[in-house]
Amino acid sequence: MTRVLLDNVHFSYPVYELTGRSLKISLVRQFANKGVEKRKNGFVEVHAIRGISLDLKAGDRVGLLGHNGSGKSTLLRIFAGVAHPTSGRMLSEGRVIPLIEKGLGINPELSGYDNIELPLRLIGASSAEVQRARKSIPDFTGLGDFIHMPVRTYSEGMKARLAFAICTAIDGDILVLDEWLGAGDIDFMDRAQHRMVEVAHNSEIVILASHSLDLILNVCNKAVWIEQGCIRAQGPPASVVPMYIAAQGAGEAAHVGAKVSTG
Amino acid sequence: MVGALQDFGSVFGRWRLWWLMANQDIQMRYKRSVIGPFWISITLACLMLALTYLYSQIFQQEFGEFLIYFGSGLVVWVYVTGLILDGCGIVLENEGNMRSVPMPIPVLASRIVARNAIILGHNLLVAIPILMLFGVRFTPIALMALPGLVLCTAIGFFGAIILGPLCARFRDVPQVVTNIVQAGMFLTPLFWRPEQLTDTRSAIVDFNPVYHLLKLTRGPLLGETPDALHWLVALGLVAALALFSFMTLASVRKRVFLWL
Repeated sequence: MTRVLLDNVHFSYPVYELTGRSLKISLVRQFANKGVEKRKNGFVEVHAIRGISLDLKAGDRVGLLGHNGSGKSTLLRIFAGVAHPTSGRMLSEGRVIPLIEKGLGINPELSGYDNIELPLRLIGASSAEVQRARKSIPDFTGLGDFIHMPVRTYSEGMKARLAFAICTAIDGDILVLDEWLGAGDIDFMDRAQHRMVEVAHNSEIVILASHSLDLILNVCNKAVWIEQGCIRAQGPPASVVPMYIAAQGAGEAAHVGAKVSTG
Repeated sequence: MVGALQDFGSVFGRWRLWWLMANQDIQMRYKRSVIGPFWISITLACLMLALTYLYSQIFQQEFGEFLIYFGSGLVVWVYVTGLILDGCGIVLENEGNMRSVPMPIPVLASRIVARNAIILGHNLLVAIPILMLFGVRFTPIALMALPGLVLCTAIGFFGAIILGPLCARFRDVPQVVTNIVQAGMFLTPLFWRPEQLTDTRSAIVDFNPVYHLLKLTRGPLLGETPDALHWLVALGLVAALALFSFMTLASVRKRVFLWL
């Protein structure tokens, strides 16, 4: 049974470079609010996640919202199994597909076709899945003969298509996404949107961090609002998103509005 | 403990990943060059011949004789130190991957082992004909060099699991290791023979692990059967590193992300 459980998870990380540099320490303190603590032996520690508990089951489509630096990305990395909780319990059952960085494992010197395997292997694809992806990706991207050209010759749009096609080529139980993977140019957007919905549909649990409130309202059935490493609110997106918007200051609201329209 | 065992197990489960990465590493180093990885062989041949030309005169030895001694040792030296130096970088060079997907450290160690084994293969391709040209007769004893190379490989693999995280946490360690390796090239009986030293012999020869590895690899290539002592030292070293790498992995596998 697919399940992800976080039980009172804390996560802090040390910032070694700052040792003994008081100016930078104070800057970081301002930036990350109260999350920064100074340890006895001199180095700075950021307490990024402070006691988060979540229990996700099959069918959950979770949208994480919060400011930059709220702990969203860190939380996502804990879900992906990249970062491990400093304390608390984390349990996940099912195959996790971590799509945190777009273009992971893509080598600009190799052709699009030769770039299919490594990114897939990195996210844990089997040989059968790589074979299938080799057949489907050239058509799906619509890159034509460019698929056999080095990726460094691609335009940004073409790179985005390739990266999108590769990382959505396999299905898992738990999909961990940093921002919805929309791909660049207009003629590809529909196809990408369609494929993304399909992938999300094939996954039993979707965890999505996004600045786009529209997207969270449309795609997710659960929203979790993270602030300073804690859960500020959680529940149906229709109730959490308005609370989130209401909590923003006047200037912030305009900022969020801009994000919604571009997302 | 269980996690560390699983990490070691992933070397077998995910062999295609590290093999692919190692091959891309080699491919990238010689991208768009006409003869590609054969530059590895040519580079070794140049180094072998040039240094032999110089040192055979300094040590007043016959060119062919010195070439055989030095050349066979150099191949092993390049392999062992390549493993050590690359082992320092396994975490740092995979920073991007480790931030995005779970990456067991032994898989990363396998990547550099495979990369260096490919380089060794290219080096042997040129070293063996040159050595034969200068009169080495490969007897069945030469095959005893193979287990010696396997031990070097094991040392490189376990060593990387220890060095990689250590170098990520303490960024001065790679510099220390580089310096040791650089000085080691002259302090190891590579150009010279242990018999040439008198009072300092034990310090830089007998306590130098690479000396024993050379005895296990260069020795058979030159027709000597290695003493049991060299096997014991090398096996003991592998066992110690295996144990220590397991302990290192068990203690750092969850924390290494913090050091990126």
